[in-house]
Amino acid sequence: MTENPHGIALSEEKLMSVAYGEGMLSESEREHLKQCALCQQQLTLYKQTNRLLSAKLYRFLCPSGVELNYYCLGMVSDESRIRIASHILDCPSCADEVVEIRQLQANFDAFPVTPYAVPKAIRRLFAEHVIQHAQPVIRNNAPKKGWPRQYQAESIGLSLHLSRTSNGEMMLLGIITTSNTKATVSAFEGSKVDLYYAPGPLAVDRQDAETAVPLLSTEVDGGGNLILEPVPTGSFVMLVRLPEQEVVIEELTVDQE
Amino acid sequence: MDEPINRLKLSRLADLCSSELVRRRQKEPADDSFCLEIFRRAILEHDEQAWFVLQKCFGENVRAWIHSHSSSDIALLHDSEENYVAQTFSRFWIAVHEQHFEFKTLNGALSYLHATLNGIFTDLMRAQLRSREVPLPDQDSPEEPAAEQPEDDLEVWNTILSLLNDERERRVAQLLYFNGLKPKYILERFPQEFTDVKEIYRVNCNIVDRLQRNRERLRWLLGDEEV
Repeated sequence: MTENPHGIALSEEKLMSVAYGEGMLSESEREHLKQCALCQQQLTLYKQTNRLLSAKLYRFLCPSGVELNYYCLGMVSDESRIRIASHILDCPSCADEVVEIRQLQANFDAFPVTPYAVPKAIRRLFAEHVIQHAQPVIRNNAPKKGWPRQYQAESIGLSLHLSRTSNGEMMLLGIITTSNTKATVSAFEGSKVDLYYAPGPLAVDRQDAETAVPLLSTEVDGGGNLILEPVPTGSFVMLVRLPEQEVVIEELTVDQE
Repeated sequence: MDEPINRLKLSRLADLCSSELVRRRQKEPADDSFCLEIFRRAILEHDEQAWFVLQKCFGENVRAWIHSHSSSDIALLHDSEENYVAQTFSRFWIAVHEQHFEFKTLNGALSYLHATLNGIFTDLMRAQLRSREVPLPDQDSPEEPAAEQPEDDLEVWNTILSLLNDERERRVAQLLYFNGLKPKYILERFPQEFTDVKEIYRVNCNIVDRLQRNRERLRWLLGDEEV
């Protein structure tokens, strides 16, 4: 790293660790990075190169998922078998997939009786945060931070309020409504509501697997009300599992204020 | 039944197959020969009607596998159940035609069909992980590589490998870029290969420097713009 006017430059290793989002910079190092154009330039170079290389090279020589599945069944040509086997020896990603595939194939049931007993598929709807006109909306006001919040997913409305219990803990109160004239909220009674730490169960990254378990769960009552408590601060995803659809509420941030 | 199975009318065969499938779904003993005959006619005799019947009879199985699959939540966010069923049969058709399979058991045929669906989901998960790690560049982004990439994937990889200094750099490049692993995870996964995570960062700095020094040869990979 070359000399610069903002004190000792960060080492290349440190900058690379920041490029991967793994770095733990001290307060003074963070301050240095803010001020130092040379370090910033080097960091940009690392990030950009990492991104371009990953975009071009990620799994680009791996056998396709379908091919790998046929390989695990032992139903590929001899030539393919040898090629794939030698690739797996050198590729941890494919080796991991092979373990998963073999496990799935070992437990294969051609005629499963479970989950797909329900003939009607459940639709998943992503609720939109609606800015209520009654609230004063000013420029650059971040509406996702204020309470109460109104969400809409087709005919389903959900009003969320943040309140405190008698012992000072935070709780989320929700009221579900429907604009469908042929439906009543009583039909939602008993529907499960789960609150997950973001990114929640829809995330695919295995490192996020722990957020796939609900932090809090409750049920909707006959009046369409729900209560979740105690709610810690953090970012959450809420899943409201109604009889014919699941409503997903993303970017639900709860802070102390 | 007097008539040999290969002489049965397809409509009769479809009825018999459906009845046996009901038994199978109720976990009762069943005769799989009618179902297998439909597979045989569709695959080996290229009988289009038999192929249509096959999809009708086994579409329910594919739908059940979709919904019992651990990735179904994510998969159904991207495409509809109908499209996955159609894709599964289409990929299955291509594969069995190439290989000229004659399935000896119904379980064997359905395992292959299931492997096709699972492969489609495996590819989808790969694409998901990739797009998560590597956001697509803006259309007019100056970072977008300008030159044409070599057509042969192996040539691409060999060009990069030839620019790297030693086995260590090649290994780190493979794990970081080809496998998409992060440095801390690499250390966790291969503790015997690296002293600490700093070593991986350091080797990667060398890789980046080396590739950037050869950016003229790698314009298709690194683009034209200097940082």
